[in-house]
Formats: sequence, structure tokens, C-alpha cells
Amino acid sequence: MYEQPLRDMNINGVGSSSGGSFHRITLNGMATINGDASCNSFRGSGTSKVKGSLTTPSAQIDGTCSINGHLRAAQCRINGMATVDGMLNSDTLETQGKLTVHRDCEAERVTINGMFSIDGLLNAGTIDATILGACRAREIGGESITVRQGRMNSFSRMVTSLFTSPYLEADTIEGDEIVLEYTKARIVRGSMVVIGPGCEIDHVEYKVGLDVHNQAKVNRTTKL
Amino acid sequence: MIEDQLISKKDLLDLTGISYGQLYRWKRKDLIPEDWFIRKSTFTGQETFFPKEKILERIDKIVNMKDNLSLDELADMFSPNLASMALTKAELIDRNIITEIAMQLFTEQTGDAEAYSFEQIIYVYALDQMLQTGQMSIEEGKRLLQVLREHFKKLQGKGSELVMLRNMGSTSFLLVTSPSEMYVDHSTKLVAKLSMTECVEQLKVKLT
Repeated sequence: MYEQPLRDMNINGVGSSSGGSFHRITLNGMATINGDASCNSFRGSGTSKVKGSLTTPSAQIDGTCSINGHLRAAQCRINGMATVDGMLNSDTLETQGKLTVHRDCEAERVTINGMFSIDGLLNAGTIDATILGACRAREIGGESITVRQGRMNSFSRMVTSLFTSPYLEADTIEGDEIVLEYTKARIVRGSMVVIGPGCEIDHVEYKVGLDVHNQAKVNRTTKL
Repeated sequence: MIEDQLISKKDLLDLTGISYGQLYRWKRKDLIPEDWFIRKSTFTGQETFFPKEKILERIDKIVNMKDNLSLDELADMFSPNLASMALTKAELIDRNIITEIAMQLFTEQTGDAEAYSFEQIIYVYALDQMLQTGQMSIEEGKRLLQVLREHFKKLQGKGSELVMLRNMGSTSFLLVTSPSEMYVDHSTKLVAKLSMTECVEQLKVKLT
């Protein structure tokens, strides 16, 4: 595809680049990319900012990263805090920390450990979320959706108990197999649905089976 | 233009027997275009609706073809992007993809060629479709080809429609992105409308 061999971008300390196509992008410290960037592998440590879209087969974000455009990364690992203003398209998405997406988030496999806030649709084949704080998504859809409250150590328990315990808030959750804990949702639709402790669901529609924990509140259930 | 009849997501799944997981997977794979997901508020809250005819036809196709083709291959077929392939004139006519008249009209403009690219075939295919409606004369067909050859590339990757208008006997062709709404005055008649996206799709099916 490219006639010239791609070069690497390395930023250590404070620096900026105007973007483009690269082989490897490594950002350490405070780095800003002022434009779209594509590369074979991306690694951002510290505070990085992309003022455009980032396209790469493999992205690892450690620390804080904000992307003003879309993030397309087949393999995506986030340790820390990431904010994407556009869409997030991925194959395998793993996050530890906080993920914010202002539009839709699509992936085949999503593993979340921590907090997330998605303004659009979270669409994935398998969603495995261990929540450790206030999480939000407008819509969640997929084949298998599992939401569990994470185990907290004494420090995080101290911090969160001052505010609220971890929970997920969503408008609609639709999938084939759904397992939820500590979730507030307007409607949950699926074939096998398990509503665990701490859930507040207005309406559950299920096809095959439904299991509601005695510490869960469900207003209405419908078997299709 | 008449608004398409809508179907709710729930009714759609009931009707077609597919699961939420499948629907979301197909959406992820771009088998179902983003703009078919229409969010509307109902008395129970926000719900997703689809244009009924289009979605039923698409799901029918996916269900029928998913045994033979992978989801990625299916996605290629439904995307408005042009496929890369070339066929000779004889092949096109023999396989009943394009009629001889349409082909002749095209070669008059561009000259004879050994083989035709997908891009060229789609022009002739569209011309053929319009001629077969019986609404368009051969002379107008030449102008249609001109529009397509000059401008179709600019809309590549987007859904597009070809619109034929007639006003007091003079004809104009418009190439517009779809979905779009358009209204014309009383003296102008909307003669025909052809979805180029569908043409690309049909042609891909015929060629494979």
C-alpha cells in the first residue's frame, strides 16, 4: 500500500506532531497529535491527545488519552482513562480504568474492569463488565452480556462509600444471554435473562428463561 | 415522497425469528446500514424502528446466503463500494446481465474495449434498468450515461439515487445521495427513480 517504508513517531517529554501514517507511534509524557494518525501499533503513556482519528491494528493506552475523532483499533487495551469523542471500533477491547465514548462503541469482545460511560450504543459479541463505579450506556446490545459488581479493596470501598456503590445505568439492554448485577435499566430484552442483586429494572422481556434475585426490583416481566 | 412503513425492532425479530445477538452482530459487520436504525419515542420510551420493506428484504438475503458466504463477504456485497472485477462484452450479454442495446449505446460513447470494469458495468446496468422502464428514450440514455460517467465517482461509498425529471418535454437527470428528500413543482414530473446502491448490490449478486 505504501511506497515508502513507514517511519516511527516517538515523543518523549512534551511534544506534538501533525499526524500521518507511521509504523509505530510511541508517546511518553505529554504528547499531542494535531490531526488524524494511522499506524501499525500505538502506545500512549502519560497524557496523550489525538486531535483527529486514530486507526491502528493495535493500541495500548496507559495513563490518560483523549481522542477527538474516531478510534479504530482491532486490539485495544486501555489502562487508565480514555475519552473518545467519535466512534470506537475494535475487535478485542480491554479496559482497566475509565472509558468514555461520546458515540457508539463496537467490538467483538469487550472486557471492562472499572468504569465506563457510553453516550451511544455499546454493541459487542461478548461483553464482560466488572463495574467499580458509576457506569452509563444509552443502549447495550450483543450476544452475551455480563455485568458484575467488582470486588473492591478497602481503599476503593472507603472512597466509593462516601458517594454511591458501583452501579450501571442504561436505557435498553438487549442480548441473547444476559446476566446483570447492580443495574438500573428501563428495559431488558433477551432469551436467557438473569437479574442479580441490586438491580432495578422496569420491564424484562424474555424468551427462554428468567431468574430474578430476591434483592432485585423488577416491575414487570413478559414472556414472549 | 411517501415515507416508508416502519417496523419496530421487537416485531422484526418476531417476524423473522432472528435473535438480538444476530441483529447486533450484523449491524457490527455493516450488513445493516446505520441509517436504517431509526430512533423514535413511543409511549414506553425510545424505541428503534426500521424501514419495513428494506430490512425484511435484507434479512431474507442474509439468512439465505449466510451458509454460502462469510459475513465479511456478505458485507462486501451490500456495501455501496464498487467491487473489483472485469468482464468482457460477450460475457455480459451472454449472462443476461446487460442487454445488447444498452451495451451498444455505451460503446458508442466510450469506444470498444476488451474488458469492462465493475465501475463501467454499473453505468451500463443503470442505463439498462432505466431503458427497461420504458420511460426513457435512447437519446436521453446518452445523457444519463454522461451524468454517471462524470459524477458517479464523487458519490462513491455513499448511497446514491438517480432521479429523472421531465419538465415541458425537456429531461434532466439528477444524481443525489440517498436517503434524501426532494420535492418538485407542479409542471415538473418525476419520471423515474433508481437506487444506485441497489443496482450495485444486484450487480454484485449477478456477477458472483
